[in-house]
Amino acid sequence: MTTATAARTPQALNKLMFVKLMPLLIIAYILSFLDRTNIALAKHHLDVDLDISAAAYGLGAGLFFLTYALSEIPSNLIMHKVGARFWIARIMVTWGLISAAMAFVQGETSFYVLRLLLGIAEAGLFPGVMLYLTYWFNREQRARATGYFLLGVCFANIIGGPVGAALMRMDGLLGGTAGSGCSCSKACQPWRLPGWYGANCRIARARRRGCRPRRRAVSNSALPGKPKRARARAVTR
Amino acid sequence: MKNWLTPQILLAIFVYFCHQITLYTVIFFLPSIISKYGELSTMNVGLLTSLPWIAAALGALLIPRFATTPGRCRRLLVTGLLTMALGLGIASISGPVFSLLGFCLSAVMFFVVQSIIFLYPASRLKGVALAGGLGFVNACGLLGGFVGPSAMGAIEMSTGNAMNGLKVIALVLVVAAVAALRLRMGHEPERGAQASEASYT
Repeated sequence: MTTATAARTPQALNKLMFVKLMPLLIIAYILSFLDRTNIALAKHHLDVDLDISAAAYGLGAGLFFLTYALSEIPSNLIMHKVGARFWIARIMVTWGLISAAMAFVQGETSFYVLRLLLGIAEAGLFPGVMLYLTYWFNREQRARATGYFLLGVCFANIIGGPVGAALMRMDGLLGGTAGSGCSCSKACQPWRLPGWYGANCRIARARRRGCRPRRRAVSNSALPGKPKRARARAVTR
Repeated sequence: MKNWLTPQILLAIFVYFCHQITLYTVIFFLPSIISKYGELSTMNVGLLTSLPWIAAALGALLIPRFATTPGRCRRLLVTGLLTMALGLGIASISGPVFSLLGFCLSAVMFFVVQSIIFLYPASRLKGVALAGGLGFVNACGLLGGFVGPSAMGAIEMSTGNAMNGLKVIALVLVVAAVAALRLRMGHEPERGAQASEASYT
């Protein structure tokens, strides 16, 4: 394992942290951005299938940002208390579930309620990650790490259109509306988290041992193979 | 809360706010601006729209790593904001090709500026105050994401041309760049000790 042997110098440890921490964070941010833009793609179907007017759509889109903005500070304070692993996993799981619940929207009221809840659930990802990066990277490295994290916005804007269009073509495929296609694809994602975040505490241990992780310490005994319930427990652990 | 309302944090928030105005305006208006370049299919508009984001990705990948010392951070931040302003300025006055190049030039610096600006609150706050402070900075920046596109829409409605909105935003960015000149990190020597700083950058 190159990673295990290479982490003997500070530079190598930095590299290891970039490799272990950044990909998941970038994916999380891409999903969060796609989530915001997908609602624009579902607009037409909300109108046709559920009789939600353009004005109601606009209000719903705005309500999301209301609770989103209000929840950012509390979310970060909680994360400081309970730790990043649990809290970022919580953010992703709840927003996946609420996005999936969008598939069951019945009319304007349920649409508004879900948008408000989505704002609360999704708030805190960006400031949470900004805080998280201060735990791991020193001043010299942090701008670089933040730059990598923000790649998520670029990717989301590059792939957002085509992905949304492809999901829209799922319309009627599973007997649901296009909106439900968008939502369900989101709900599957957060389950990847625990294994990855397990890797983080391995790096932390490596750090405490003076940058010299043993081979076993870095090898990733991640969770994807385990049954779903075990994974669900790992999220709340 | 008291910790967050210091002049330096508010200054960082102001710069971030101006940045978010620009970012969200470009996110919302770029496709419609590009579709006015000529007879383009939806696919082509999509492809052209992705060009500035590819430029932004390159910028985010390659440039923030140079922001290692307070002096370099500030220089990169100010240069970044001025480059964004210049790019949007070019985009607002020229034909399709140069306009798109202007957007690309501007986009290169989008995430360079954003990744550096978060170093400032982090250098002045600690612990709980830092946790809440980062939430506060981001929530205020989010306001820019509201103000930008709606102001842009209002300007387009009243003057009939989206390009006038871009000119206003370019001006706002120049103001932000001037403001960014006054940003100092918490651990940075105050004014007067600038000479020693120059020696180690």
